[in-house]
Amino acid sequence: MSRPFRRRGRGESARIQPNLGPDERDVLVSLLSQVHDLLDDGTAGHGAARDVDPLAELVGIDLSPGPVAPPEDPAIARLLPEGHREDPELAGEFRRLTERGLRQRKQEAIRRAVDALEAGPATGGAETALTLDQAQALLVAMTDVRLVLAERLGLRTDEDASRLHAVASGFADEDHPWAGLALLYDVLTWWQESLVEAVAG
Amino acid sequence: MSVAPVELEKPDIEEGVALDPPWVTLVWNDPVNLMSYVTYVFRTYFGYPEEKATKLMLDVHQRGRAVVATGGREEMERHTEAMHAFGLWATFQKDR
Repeated sequence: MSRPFRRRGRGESARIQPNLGPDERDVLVSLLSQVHDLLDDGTAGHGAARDVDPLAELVGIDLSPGPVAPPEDPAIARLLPEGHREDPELAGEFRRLTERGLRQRKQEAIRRAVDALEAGPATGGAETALTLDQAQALLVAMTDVRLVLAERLGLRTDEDASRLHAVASGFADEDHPWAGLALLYDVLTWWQESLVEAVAG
Repeated sequence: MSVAPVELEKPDIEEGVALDPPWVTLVWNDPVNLMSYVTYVFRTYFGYPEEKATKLMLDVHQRGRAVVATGGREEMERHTEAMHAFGLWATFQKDR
């Protein structure tokens, strides 16, 4: 199998060439879009209809009076982890100051990645090339997708991850409830490894 | 070579010479992030040379965590936030 991402050229003018089929690209875009929507806390975007301070929105700060609690969905909590392990007050204050901005940055990276992937011809193909900046956005966005998938799959330790790889490559029964997600996670891991290699040059 | 579009500010002199114990930014091991990606993040964001970035990555992987930066509290909070933006699990705390 050929490498999913390749670097062409040097320096600032280098391009990252995805070698994904149209179906693969669609899967990737779909996963990215789902994580984008997961990161929506209901305050982004439609400012006019909501009771949101535009300045606070702009700088990504939560104007709640006290520390902010972590998200309930464990996958989102993994994307936006606690900043302090022992002091809930410091962690809550950190979250108040950073969480909204982090959601926005992550969504922005996903949008840039999706735009770059979709800019190519509908068939995928060799003409789609990402700038280093776009490839870096994709790299970060793919990390968030893998973090969400891993949380849904219950990966907690390095051993879990190794087991999952063995499980994913050993699935004979495609009807197994985990088969789809596990394979997807494994493929994404392989794509990301290739993308890091291409971007790090 | 690409550089992460993240602020890498010089230490704040007025604040940096306090007698308080310094703060640290820790990165914790997780089963998802690739070793190559973690090294890449340490190189591009902190500007660490390949060797140092690799050593820190291995510390995270093998010991479960590593101190990736030391300094004033605000700076450590900024680094923590930046690591979260990259999908790494980082925390800040007072050094001890």
